[in-house]
Amino acid sequence: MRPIVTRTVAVLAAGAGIAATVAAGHPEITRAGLEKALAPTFANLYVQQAGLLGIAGVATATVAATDTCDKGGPKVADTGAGPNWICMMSWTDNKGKHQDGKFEVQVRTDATYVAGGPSKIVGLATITDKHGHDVPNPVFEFDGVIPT
Amino acid sequence: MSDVLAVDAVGLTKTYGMLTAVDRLSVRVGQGEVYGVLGPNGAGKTTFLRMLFGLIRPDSGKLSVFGRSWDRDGVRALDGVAGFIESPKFYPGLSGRKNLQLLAGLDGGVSGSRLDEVLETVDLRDRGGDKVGGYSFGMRQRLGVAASLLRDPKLLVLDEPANGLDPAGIRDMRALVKQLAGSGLTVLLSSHDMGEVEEICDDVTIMRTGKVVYHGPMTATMTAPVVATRRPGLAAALRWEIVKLAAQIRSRALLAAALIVPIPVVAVLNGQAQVPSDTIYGRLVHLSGYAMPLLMLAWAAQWALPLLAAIVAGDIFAAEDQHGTWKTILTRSVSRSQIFWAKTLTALAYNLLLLTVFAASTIAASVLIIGHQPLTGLSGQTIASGPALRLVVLAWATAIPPIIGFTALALLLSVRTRNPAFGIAAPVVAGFAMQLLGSVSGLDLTRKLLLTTPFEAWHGLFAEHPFHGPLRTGLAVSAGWTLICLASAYLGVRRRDITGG
Ligand SMILES: Nc1ncnc2c1ncn2[C@@H]1O[C@H](COP(=O)(O)OP(=O)(O)O)[C@@H](O)[C@H]1O
Ligand SMILES: [Mg+2]
Repeated sequence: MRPIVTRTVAVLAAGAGIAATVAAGHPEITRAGLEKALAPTFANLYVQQAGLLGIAGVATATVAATDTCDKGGPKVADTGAGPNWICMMSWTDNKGKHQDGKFEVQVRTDATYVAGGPSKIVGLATITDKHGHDVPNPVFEFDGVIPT
Repeated sequence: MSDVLAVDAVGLTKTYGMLTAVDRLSVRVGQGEVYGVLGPNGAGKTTFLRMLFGLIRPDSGKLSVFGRSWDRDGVRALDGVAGFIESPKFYPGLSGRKNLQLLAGLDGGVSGSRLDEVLETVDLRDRGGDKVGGYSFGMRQRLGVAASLLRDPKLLVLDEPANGLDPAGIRDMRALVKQLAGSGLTVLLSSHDMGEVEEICDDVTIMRTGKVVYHGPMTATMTAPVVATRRPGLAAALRWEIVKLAAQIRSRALLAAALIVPIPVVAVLNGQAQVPSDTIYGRLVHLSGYAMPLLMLAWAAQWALPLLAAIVAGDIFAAEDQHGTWKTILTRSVSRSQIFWAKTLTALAYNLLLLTVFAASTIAASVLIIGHQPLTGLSGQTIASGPALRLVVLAWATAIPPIIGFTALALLLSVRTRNPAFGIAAPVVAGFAMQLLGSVSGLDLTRKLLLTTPFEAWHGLFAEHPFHGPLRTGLAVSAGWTLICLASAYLGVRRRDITGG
């Protein structure tokens, strides 16, 4: 009899504890956090791409990437993990031209994300480097992390 | 001092639910006596002897052995006492000699010549090197006597030593007991056979359904008090846990697998044109030898690391239940706490060694097969080879706290379920469930408290401006799980009644 009672109490307590943490939690993944992480990451990778292509004079400062993000359209709160984040990125490309591009971002619950760039602007999955080799395009799709 | 009773039990009672197994039993055994406890099956003889050995706690009554009691003196109540309960149990995978050495180790050690001497006494000299798994029932019974004699007891407790033996075995066992009794040893013998007790014993208590129905005459003779010579500590228990672990094929095979398996896995992944881009760093495995170990870490955290943590830890307590050897090791000179810590430390040390071997092999194989190219960080920054190696090693090191947590969880399940298969499988299932819960969006606080989340804390190290919040939280959460699981496991070991075996 007694073990059953203690076990039931333990299970209920654990359940209540989990429920409490669910209720008390506040989202760690926010729009501001993603925006702050994504643009510099893209800039770094864009510089890496320029290096592969053998284009000189591209640095994160000249790329000057900025972004605005949104999750799932106007009706969805811009917090939390999900595959439906969209970020609009503005930057200066390796010819000195201003570019705007739409990035699709899939954010995981562990605050890492996968971002896919607009291939019309950033190139396809594989690019030909300055030595004539086919290499993966660093900005076509990339992993990143949102500081939490 | 010298007229202290060998056994002084007053009003001992033990109930199991509705059943009173031992009912206000009083037994007084003087030093040097050969005392019989006679009664039919189910009379409560074994229950009484289990209380004497501290394997189970009496509900009420007082019990002292050579003036010492369990309440006051803990395992010291067993100083000078040896014997076995029901049929003695040993580790079947070890030889008779190794088993004796191990048990003597829990008493502070023994010389090789003394081992030979006791094996000779019980007529097992020739078979000492064979595995106990191949012994006959009678041989195990005699090995039980040998294991008891190694303690140089003043009181030898034998629970139906002739039970289950063939007529020749019964004759040999009686002759052995008489020979030992003749050497001045106090003997407390239980039996359901009137003839046996008459032949061997000077005095007798007859029990039926937990109650005493007859007391024979009792004389108190004078003998020197027991002096404990050596006091084995945690070190002795630890040493023998390691010996037992090293003798297990499973533990050695697992270490070998942790060393070897990463090599073909890395080679095959590197050989595939398609990259596992759905896992972090999967997309970069061809580009840097430092991406592969991070991908492997992310994968391993899903089930392999909880499994590695559970294989030894989930078994280490439950194996004693499986072999019935709790009563064998707990009737020596080491306390339950010491056994608990010895097992816990052994499992922890083994798991940390396993993680180290697994990590080293994975990292070395990756760098040797793929190369030491610079690594792209999680902010897109380029990390040079040297710092990248340091970060990868650090990332694997961040798995240590949750591995310790999973080890503690497996130890707890091993103690509580007493089932090795459950102790091993349950932490893996729990790990899966936690992964699943952790992948549900919107449970940010719940997620932080899961034991699987610290496995992901390394991500922050790879940002351009590294952040350590998740590492700190992960450390605290792992510590919390570890403390709760170990405390509960400890209480489980301390409190339980050892009734099986
Ligand atoms: N762990 C236990 N749980 C429930 N009942 C038990 C347990 N151990 C012993 N008993 C019961 O206690 C009584 C005494 O058993 P035991 O001491 O083994 O008798 P004996 O050794 O004299 O044959 C029996 O009725 C037995 O069924
Ligand atoms: Mg019995």
